[in-house]
Amino acid sequence: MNCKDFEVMLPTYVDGGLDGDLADACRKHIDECADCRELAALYRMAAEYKPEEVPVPPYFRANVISALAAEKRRAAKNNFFSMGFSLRTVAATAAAAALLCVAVWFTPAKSAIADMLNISDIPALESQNAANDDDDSWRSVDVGRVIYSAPDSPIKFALDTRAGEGKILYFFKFKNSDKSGTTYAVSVGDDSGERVIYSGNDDCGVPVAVAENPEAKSTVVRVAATKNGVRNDIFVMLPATDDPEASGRRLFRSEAPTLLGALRNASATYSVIIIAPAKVEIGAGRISYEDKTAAETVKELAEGAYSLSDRVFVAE
Amino acid sequence: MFSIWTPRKSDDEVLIAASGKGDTEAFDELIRKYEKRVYNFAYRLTGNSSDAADVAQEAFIRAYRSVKSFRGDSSFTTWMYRITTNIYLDMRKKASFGKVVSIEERAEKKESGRSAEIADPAPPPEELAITEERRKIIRDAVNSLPEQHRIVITLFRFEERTYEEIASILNIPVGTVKSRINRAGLALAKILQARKDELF
Repeated sequence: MNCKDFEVMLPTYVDGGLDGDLADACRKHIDECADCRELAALYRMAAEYKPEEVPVPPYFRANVISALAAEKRRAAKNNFFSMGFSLRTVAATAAAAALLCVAVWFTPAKSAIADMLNISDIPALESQNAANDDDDSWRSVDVGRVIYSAPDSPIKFALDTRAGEGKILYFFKFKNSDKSGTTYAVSVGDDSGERVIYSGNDDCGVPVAVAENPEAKSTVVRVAATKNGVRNDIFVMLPATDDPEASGRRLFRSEAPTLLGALRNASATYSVIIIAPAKVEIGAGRISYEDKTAAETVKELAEGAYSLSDRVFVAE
Repeated sequence: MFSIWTPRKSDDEVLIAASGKGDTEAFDELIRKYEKRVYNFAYRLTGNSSDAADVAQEAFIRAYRSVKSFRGDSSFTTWMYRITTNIYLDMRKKASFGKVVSIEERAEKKESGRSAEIADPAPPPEELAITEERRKIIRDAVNSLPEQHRIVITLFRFEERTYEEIASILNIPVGTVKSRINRAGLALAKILQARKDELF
């Protein structure tokens, strides 16, 4: 057997698929030919190699969903879904929710967070017609871009509701320090202040629809949520201004001046995800208990004063 | 009023049927279920995370577009492998797509000096353990294989697909799959042989 013949036989020989004279011939050739013996060893080594599994980027699913939504929007530009809901249900949900005094981290200046996140090229969320049978003043708007989505992480979803005058929604999850369970919160950040607009025990999922009521000057986001395993969506209203009369119903407002102050007051074990683009390197660390505004905290985080591990920032 | 909605079963057939009717939540569940596998396959084909994300994302988008016509002749997994492979091959044609570093050029340069070298009198070992250093060299070698070879090696050895599944994914006869795998394995061993100084 020569080297050329051996090469043809090599894969089958190494895999144990040869027997009899052919197998003997291969064995004899390997004994006599250093190059082919070497080749066989390398073949075996390569056959055993298995690459390691790599983690899926945290924004991957959100990007796919956003891209699909953008496609659907393009395909059906004037075709809207109708969504039925009533403001009474929203109020009932708020009343039933267990309220917790938590403050919200965000940056008050929209331009600051936009710059930091470099969100100009993130695809928009699908908009849906919010008109129900009773009220046709609602209209669908092209709102929001998914900034961040990590359903298994404390901030499950962040939506930049551009049509809501530059508001950014954050969906949080807190573990209560008394081990009484988990509190979920939806908060909004804009130029006028920090506000939690919903908190309770319902597991907030992802926004599934956004609508704007131009008369009430408010935006409503329907959030898929479950309660006790049963789907029970939450409707979150984003006031356009601080004036409750003009802005419709605000579900909850934090009294604490800063995120850190309120979290200290809440005495809860909490996790916060810092929403940052993949390019920004942030490592693992702790939140300082000094009284800083959210913007200052964000700035320090971006500058590396703190760090995150897997974008989860835990303080106890 | 809220409507009561019970969680869906995570059964592929139910999810696919629902997705085919435009149910994006059902498709979202499919993405959740298969993103790791599709992304890792794309990563093994492309060799980098950026292109892998592009390929994998496009694979799911294309799957959603054609989920209505999915007949269930193959498993959803096989179908996704097929879509991902085709997208990878399409994207490879684009100039902007990341190029996998080839070590063949390096190997050829080394080859020209080989005749002047004195042969090592000690015989090479029968078995070579896979160290971290060797893993990197093998990874580079896989990335430098021609497309067809890299795809079959990835599907057979890394994704552990059967010959029949690979035949379905690539739309080629089973016999062709077997011979292509053999040739790919040999080509890979030869690339490694060109770097044997680093391996032995």
